[in-house]
Amino acid sequence: MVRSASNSGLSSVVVLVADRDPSVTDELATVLRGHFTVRSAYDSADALASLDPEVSVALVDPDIPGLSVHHVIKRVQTDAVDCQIAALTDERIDLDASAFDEYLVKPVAPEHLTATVERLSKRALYRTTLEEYYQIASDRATTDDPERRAELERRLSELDDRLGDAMGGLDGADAYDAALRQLDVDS
Amino acid sequence: MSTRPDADDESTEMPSNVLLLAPSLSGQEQDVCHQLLHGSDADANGLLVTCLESPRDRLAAWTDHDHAETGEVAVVDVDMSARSTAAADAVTSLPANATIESVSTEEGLVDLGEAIDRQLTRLTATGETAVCLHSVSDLLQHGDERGVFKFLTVLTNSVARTDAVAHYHMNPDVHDAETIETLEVLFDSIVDLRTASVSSE
Repeated sequence: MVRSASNSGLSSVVVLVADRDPSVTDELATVLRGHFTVRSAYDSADALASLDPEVSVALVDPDIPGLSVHHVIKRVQTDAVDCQIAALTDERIDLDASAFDEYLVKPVAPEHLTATVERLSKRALYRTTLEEYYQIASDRATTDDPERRAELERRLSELDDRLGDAMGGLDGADAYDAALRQLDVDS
Repeated sequence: MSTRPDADDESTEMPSNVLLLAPSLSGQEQDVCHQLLHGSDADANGLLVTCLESPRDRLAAWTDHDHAETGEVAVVDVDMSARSTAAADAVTSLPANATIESVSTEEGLVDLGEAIDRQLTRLTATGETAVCLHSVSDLLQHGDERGVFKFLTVLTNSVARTDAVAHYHMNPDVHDAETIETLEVLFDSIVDLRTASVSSE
């Protein structure tokens, strides 16, 4: 059930599409524009320039010239770009052995494409909301000012509701993975 | 039992998620754990997550000597490679209604979360389920506060949405006050054995 009324909030979700074949990029972007805000990138520089904190989901061809997965991951680590990344590939890949959150084998059926991006956008929302929740809980623990503390507790309560909503679209295993999957937090 | 309700808890229902602050050598810890596991329903299923203690020891905490019949029990045994005795010997004395699933934390907490989720889904499908996580302190020794916080956020939400109840052991003596204050927002109520007399209130 991809096209439901609850999808209306998805139009603000920013998706980056970058395939090595410009016509594939355009084709995927066209399908996704019906549901999301889409950025197309046709080369490595373009893709990296488009990858900012507004992007929730990036569909990236690992074989796009000059764009190694390493570059994308590096970008996600260093610039607070915490998006979900799906590989656009010609064959299945082992996700556990890769840095990708998901993969899409080309050609991608429109319904599968939209459903996958929707699921990844839910993971992205859950992940970023959870990070904010942690930051505020941590701030609350270190403040001595009662007013500040009360304000932080109000925000925690709001975020708690939003987390509940965001988790609603994920099954349990997916929620753990979205919450905790680490590319590398130490760098 | 002294509890510290978090924010707006006005219901009289059993809280879904309880943080059990039990200092080292607290003689009450096992009793309170047992109460929390069997408090709502003596026949409830149990899901016991253990890090450093052997599954056998956690099963001993679960076993209700007053009720011969109990629900199913599953132990998720987290291999932190720090336990001195081999866990395998516990299998020989495993009760018929018990299962043990071992997970490694090498890959971080995702695998543990998925194992817990599998068992929680299975057990809550058959009846009321009480969860014991032993312990938050052990998880914090292995992972950073941020990761453990997020892991516990998902777990407490999962417990609430499957209508289970859970408690989480934590030794307050080995953490700074900020860590405890950061984590406490995730729980509906806190039982603090440093200050509480279990029989009071």
